[in-house]
Amino acid sequence: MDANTLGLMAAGFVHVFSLMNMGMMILGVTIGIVVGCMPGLSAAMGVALLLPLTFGMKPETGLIMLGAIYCGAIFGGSISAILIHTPGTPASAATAIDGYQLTLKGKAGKALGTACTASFFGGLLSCISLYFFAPALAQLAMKFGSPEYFWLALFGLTIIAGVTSGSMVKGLMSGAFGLVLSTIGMDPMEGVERYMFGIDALYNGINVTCAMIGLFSMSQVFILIEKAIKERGNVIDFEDSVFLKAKELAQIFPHVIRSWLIGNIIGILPGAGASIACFLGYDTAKKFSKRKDEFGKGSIEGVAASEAANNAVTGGSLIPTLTLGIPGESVTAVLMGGLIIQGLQPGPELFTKYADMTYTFFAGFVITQFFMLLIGLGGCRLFAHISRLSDAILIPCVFVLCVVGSFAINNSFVEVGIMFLFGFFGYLMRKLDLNTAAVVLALILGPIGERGLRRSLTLSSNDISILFSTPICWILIALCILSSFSPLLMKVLRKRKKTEEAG
Amino acid sequence: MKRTDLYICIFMYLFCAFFQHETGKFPEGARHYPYFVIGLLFLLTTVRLWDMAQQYMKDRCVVNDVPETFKGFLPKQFWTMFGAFLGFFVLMYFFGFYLASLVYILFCLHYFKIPKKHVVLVLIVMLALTYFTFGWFLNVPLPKGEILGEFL
Amino acid sequence: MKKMIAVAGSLMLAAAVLMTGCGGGGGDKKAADAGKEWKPTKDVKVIIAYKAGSGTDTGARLLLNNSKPYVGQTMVIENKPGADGKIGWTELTKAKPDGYTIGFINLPTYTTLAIQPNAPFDDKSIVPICNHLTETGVVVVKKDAKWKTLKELVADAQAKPGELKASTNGVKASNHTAAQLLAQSAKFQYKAVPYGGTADQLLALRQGEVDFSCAKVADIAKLVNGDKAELRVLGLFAEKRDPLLKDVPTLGELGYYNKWYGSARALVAPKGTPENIIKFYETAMKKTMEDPKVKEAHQKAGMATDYKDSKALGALIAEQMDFCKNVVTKLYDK
Repeated sequence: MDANTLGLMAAGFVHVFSLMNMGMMILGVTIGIVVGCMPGLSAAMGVALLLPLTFGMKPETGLIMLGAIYCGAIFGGSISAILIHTPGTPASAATAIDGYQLTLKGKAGKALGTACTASFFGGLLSCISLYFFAPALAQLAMKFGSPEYFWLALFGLTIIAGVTSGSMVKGLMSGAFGLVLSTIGMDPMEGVERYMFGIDALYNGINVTCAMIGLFSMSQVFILIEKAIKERGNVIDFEDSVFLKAKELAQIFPHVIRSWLIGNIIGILPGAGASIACFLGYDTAKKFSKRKDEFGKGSIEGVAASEAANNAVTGGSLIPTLTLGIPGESVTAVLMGGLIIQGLQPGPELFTKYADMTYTFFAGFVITQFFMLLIGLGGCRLFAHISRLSDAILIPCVFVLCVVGSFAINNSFVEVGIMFLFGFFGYLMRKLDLNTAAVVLALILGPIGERGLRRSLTLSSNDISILFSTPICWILIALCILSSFSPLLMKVLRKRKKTEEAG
Repeated sequence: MKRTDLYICIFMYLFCAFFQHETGKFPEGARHYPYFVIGLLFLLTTVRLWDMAQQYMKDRCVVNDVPETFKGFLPKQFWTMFGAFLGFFVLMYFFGFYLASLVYILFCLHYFKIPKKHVVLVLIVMLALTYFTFGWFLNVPLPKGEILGEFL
Repeated sequence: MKKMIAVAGSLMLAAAVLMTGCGGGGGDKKAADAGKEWKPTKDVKVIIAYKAGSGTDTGARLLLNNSKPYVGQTMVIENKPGADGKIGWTELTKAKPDGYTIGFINLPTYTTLAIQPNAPFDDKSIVPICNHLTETGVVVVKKDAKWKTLKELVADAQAKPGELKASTNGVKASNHTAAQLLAQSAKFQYKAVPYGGTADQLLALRQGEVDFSCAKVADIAKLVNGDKAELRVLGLFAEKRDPLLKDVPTLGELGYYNKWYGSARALVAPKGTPENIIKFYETAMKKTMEDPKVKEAHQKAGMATDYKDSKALGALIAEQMDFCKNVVTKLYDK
């Protein structure tokens, strides 16, 4: 890192302070949060739909706005996940697990505050790697081939054990059930239709967002309508304080750091993305936490880990997008489209010829995080009161949002039908102790794993050794083993520690 | 051994059998992977069944946990609401999203006996929220309805 | 309400639209005086069969965002993605032919779907308006690959039948067809590995997972120029060389497939749309595409506009239909 580059970085911070840039940041974050907390409107869709607005702006201003929408939307997804068990985007699916439990305890404010603070740190820390390690980390994206994706997906699936509370076999069954469902759609290698029954909308498989809205939100509606309506307006110990105490900050801090690293790396890998990162972050936090038993019952650590991880993806996925022209996830793919329309080609030129613009954008990305924290904390105090609404009001509202959200994915009624079906299934699953999060996870990871595995085998003419051919493969295999056996390992370690203490 | 677990296992076996049958129609190359995941589900279900069988050998009884699981279940409310959902779909298909949600939300809030003041508030907030984010700002078209759409 | 979008947009854009709007308005008035001519009086729906943010969508938005002065109404894009275009195009072809629903089609994808048994539409279900973009197919390898020319690649592939691997953007997708065209005309065997999309397909080539790949000029433009170029173009699926790729021979020159192959994105209306409506959009789009601002925007984005009027586009669609029926189906026979 030479003085010249540092100078350019500093200049970026000078350039970013213009009225237009600041205005776009505030606007972008606000739009992002709203888009994010609406189920069905994903971050990618928000950015894509607002992309034309930026055509007439200066490149850096346009990018800053899109970046702000991106960050805002990823955070915004957690708001509805926490308040009404309706993750606004798949990236907040893991947040719903503990966030909603906190809401039920009257601690919605705390949960939202945790999510906002963790998102802020995740996003801010991800800027560090964006600034200083971009070229080096970008090489990771180039090293990830088909076999590596197979192992990554498998590693992701080992989390199922982590999100399962109760019977392990039933959790794994839910995962396998999801895997079978993930094979619906066009066969990626042979091009034949699988289990589509003439429904063209299933061509690209079951839409994950749609299934998620069904399994998380619609099922929640069913759960609410089966029992006597609860008036929650009078929860006695309702707390709307969104600020975390020093002790709580210290409690979530290690999880935020771990989630940052996880989110950043996942963000860099093309095709993975925030929805996987949040689960990985959540699971890792659970494994390392001193209060494991709180997880699944309303742990701020779980909320923080999941939210820090998905916001750390933002900076991470910008790295390969800008340096190599390989978008890390669907949002940055759209962002790259915006870049190209501005006449900027992703690649080394962005850091030489257009360094001014690039570093102004980076600086804007950093400042955006602060706006997100401010707007987020301010808004959360208000949003928290939604949790006091009577179930009778929540039922029609959440249902209508589920319908709009699933319709908006592809502008079609078929998705609404699929959502409803998954909703009913999700309701029964939750009643019978099966795991809906495992199904969502399998739907996300199944196709990645299948493509990785089958493509590897095609490349090697069915020689299985290709799956063990690179160092990254071995690292991922080690992670899979570690992740599957860590509960056992931890138990042994703890026992030994105890005996040592006793002795 | 719980009765609901038995139901789950039966469902999973049926699910496997159905997908297994469908997979048979695919060309050779496309069969392996589906067979693999179906096999996985089959295996796990069998493991579960084995666990249950062992439990049964120990206790010699099947616990009927259906009443326990659905404790506090209000059939009338549940099915009325379920019907309202379907009614909403039909309304939305023919008369468009906004009208359908208006009627639907009104019905629900009336059914739950929510005070009038709140009803108006909820309606305004919900319709404004969807209209501004979807219709106005993002320009995502919401269903206009088969009948009303003609006139718009 | 949709007009508000423009207001919510940047001031600059709004000002520009207003300014050109005044200029264009005068001309339209004169045209209206001539009688008979049709003009939209409300927003026009434009169906895009791919999701928001995709290549087709971005290109379309670039064009339609600037078309207001010439069309007089806002063109509202409606994304109807799914089934590789089939869902959106089915809706487009079934829409009311009143001039308020038009859409973009991609060739040859549209014709590929149209010739399939039980296809919900065919080449007669649409009326051509005009062509927007054309992209020619190319053969690419990694910059540091041992093959310096297409001849060398073909010779190597012939020596080791079935050993060279090519990434494609999907089973029987456009770039797979290109690879098949090359392989059949140059008489070699290779292994096609589908990656489900052009971006992933090229990434696999850059990573070295596969040996060569067929893609479109615009997709690889940024990867073959400059001192950090990663890929090398070996051949062009065209009848004559591209001025931007002067050193690249066409496949015909080398004795392989000697016709143009590539993709085109065009505006069409549903069957039954009256002549005067087609005429209106044809002229409006021509004017839009000739607008210096639009031209510059396309250039900046690296998209080569290629205006073809309704008749020329009709001929192209017919030709592609023929090509899909007679050539493509045979390519995949084993």
